[in-house]
Order: sequence, then C-alpha cells, then structure tokens
Amino acid sequence: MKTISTAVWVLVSGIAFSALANAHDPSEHAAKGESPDCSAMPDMHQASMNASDPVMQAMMKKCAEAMHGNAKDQKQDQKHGSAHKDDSGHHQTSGGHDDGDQHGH
Amino acid sequence: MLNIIRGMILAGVILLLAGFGVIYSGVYSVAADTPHNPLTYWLLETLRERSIDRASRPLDVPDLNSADWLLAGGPDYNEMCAGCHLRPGKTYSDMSLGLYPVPPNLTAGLDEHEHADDDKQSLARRQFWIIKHGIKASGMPAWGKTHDDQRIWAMVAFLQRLPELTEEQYQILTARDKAGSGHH
Repeated sequence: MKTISTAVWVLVSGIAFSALANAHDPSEHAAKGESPDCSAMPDMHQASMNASDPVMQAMMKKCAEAMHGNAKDQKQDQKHGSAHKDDSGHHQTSGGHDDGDQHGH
Repeated sequence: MLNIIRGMILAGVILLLAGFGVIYSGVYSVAADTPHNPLTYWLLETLRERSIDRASRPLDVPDLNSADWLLAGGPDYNEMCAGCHLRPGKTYSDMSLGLYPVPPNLTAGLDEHEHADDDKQSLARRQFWIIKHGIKASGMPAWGKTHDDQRIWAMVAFLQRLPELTEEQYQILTARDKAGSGHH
C-alpha cells in the first residue's frame, strides 16, 4: 500500500513538473493557432515591397508553408474520406475521386 | 565653520526623518491611476534608464536582419507583448490604459518614442535586456526565466521591424501555425 501511494505521489509530481516545464513551449500555443491571411500578398508584391527584404521573405515563407500545410490537410482529408467510405461499406463502382474532390474543397 | 557643519548634519537628519515620516504615514498614493509627482517620476525614470543603459552595454547584438528571426519572434510578440505594447491598427488596450507607468507603444517609430536618439544597436541591446530581466514595479515581467536568449533575440528582431508593419503584414508574420511554429 505504501509503495502504491509513493508511486502515485511520484507520478503526480512528475506530471505536474513536466506541465510546468512545458508551460512556455511554443507548442502550448498551438490550440489558439491562427492561419496567416495571405490574400493580400499579391497586392504587396505589386506595391513597393522589395523581395530581398526580410519582412517580405518571411511573409513569403509563412504563406508558402501555410499553402503546403493546407495541401497536406486536403490530402489527409481525401485519404480519410476514402478510408471511411471503405470501412462503412459504401462502395461505388465509379466516382471515388469525386468524393475525394468534395472533401478537398 | 563648526556651526555650518552642525547645521548641515541637523538638516540631513530632519530630511531623513521627514522622508521616513512620509513613507510610514501612508500619505503617498501608490494607486496606478494617480500619476507620480514630477520629482518622484524624474527620480524613478532616471534610475531606470541609467540602470538599463549600464546593464545592457556589454551585450553583443547578433545579426537580426533575417526572415527566420522575424518568423520566430512574431508569434511570441503577439501572444506575450501586444496586449500592453499594442500592434498595428491599435492605439490602446485595457492594459495600456490601466498600467502605470504607461507601457511604451512599440508600434510607434523610433522618432516617435523616447529613445529617438539611440542607434539601432543600442536599442536592440536595451530591448533584449528589458525582455530578459523585466523592470521592477512596472508590470514588465522577466521573460528570461522561461525563455532562452535565442527566443528573446527573435522578439528583438521583430521589434526592430514592427513600426513599419501594416496590419496585414503583422497578421501574416504573427500567425502561429498549428504545429506551434517550427522556427524556434
């Protein structure tokens, strides 16, 4: 009984300590993640912004990553959609890709 | 001559007692919505500025002119600093109105705030030191207890460009991606 209570105490302290240590890890903010709004980027390109300026480079990098992330999400959604369809037994003779496209948009 | 010395010592003792009297009587307001009198303000501000200047002087500033620094510092600024120090398009917040001394508006250009004469390097050193160590009794925390130097320099890099950013640019640079930003 004493061993169990010691183990519980050690586990609880360990969890509490690790939570404290990670409190300011960037991944802590992931829940409130916000996508960059890159719709204004083409206008900025045409305006006086210099492509060698670190601000412009950072924005291009961020938007490229966001687009890459979206494409990845869409692929995963497509995969998930077709897997779900297979699991549920709703096989169609044709149009499998149509379903994926719908998920993709 | 002896009388002059005696008079000076007596005056010093009276001043000291008067100072203790003011402190212990509780008549001096510490409310954040009551500004300091000009003498106290000057004393505290001079003490703060001189202290930061002296402590930050030995720091070496890395080359902050890169996209990666901005991408690493932007989300941190937005989450940790913008509430008090504002962001493009905002002229006040609950925190900026309520805190005393008023937190500086870091979206204002160099020529608009108090360190207009400082060169960029000196400003970067000061900003790094303030972010890392905080300032007593001002509401500015010491982020160095939980953030490493690399992460603090990234915030400094972002601060260097913040006054030039539009609202749209700020939004893009500060958006934290779902993975918690891999630029650290």
